[in-house]
Amino acid sequence: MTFGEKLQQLRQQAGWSQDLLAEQLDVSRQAVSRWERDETLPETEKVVRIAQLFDVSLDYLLRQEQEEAEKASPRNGEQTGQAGQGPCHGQDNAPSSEEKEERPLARLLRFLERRWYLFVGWGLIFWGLADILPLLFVLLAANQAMGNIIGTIAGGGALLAS
Amino acid sequence: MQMASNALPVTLFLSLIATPLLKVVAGVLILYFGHRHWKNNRSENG
Repeated sequence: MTFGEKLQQLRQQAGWSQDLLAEQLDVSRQAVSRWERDETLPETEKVVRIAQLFDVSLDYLLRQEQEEAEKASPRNGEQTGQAGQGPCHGQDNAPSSEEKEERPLARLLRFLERRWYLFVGWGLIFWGLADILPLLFVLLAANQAMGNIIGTIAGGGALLAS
Repeated sequence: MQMASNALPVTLFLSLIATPLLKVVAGVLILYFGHRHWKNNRSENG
């Protein structure tokens, strides 16, 4: 199995889309697509991150020979348990329940780390709008009050004229 | 007295209109440049 095939298999087993994986790795979806098609290889840092995300060893991800050797000697494959499919020395490659619990918070923190400007920007915009809106209400109310006053004056003037 | 009457509209303008508008503009600029920076720095090839 090539790196791309393994990556695609791991991603699909985890039920992730290319978009989600791309977001987790801070790369474009096109980059993930190219990795899966074995057109390019990710940087070392990304490979480490992929191994962490899917709880597999770097060895499994990068070594094609290991898999082929296992196929050649099925006994060896039996000894390593799920080594053929489950890549991390017999461990299930689905994330553990503990990891699943930690993920949303960790994901949020990573998202904040990368896209902090979204929070600052939208925060400022809403803060500014929240300051302006009461002023608009005051202006509207004042306008209405002024209208009433003018109306009263005009009414009074009309009465006087008649 | 003259100064106080001149300062009032300026203060009102700054506190009621200019500062909130500045916040909105700053927010929009941060979003724009932040997104541009993030997009440029995002690795295309991993």
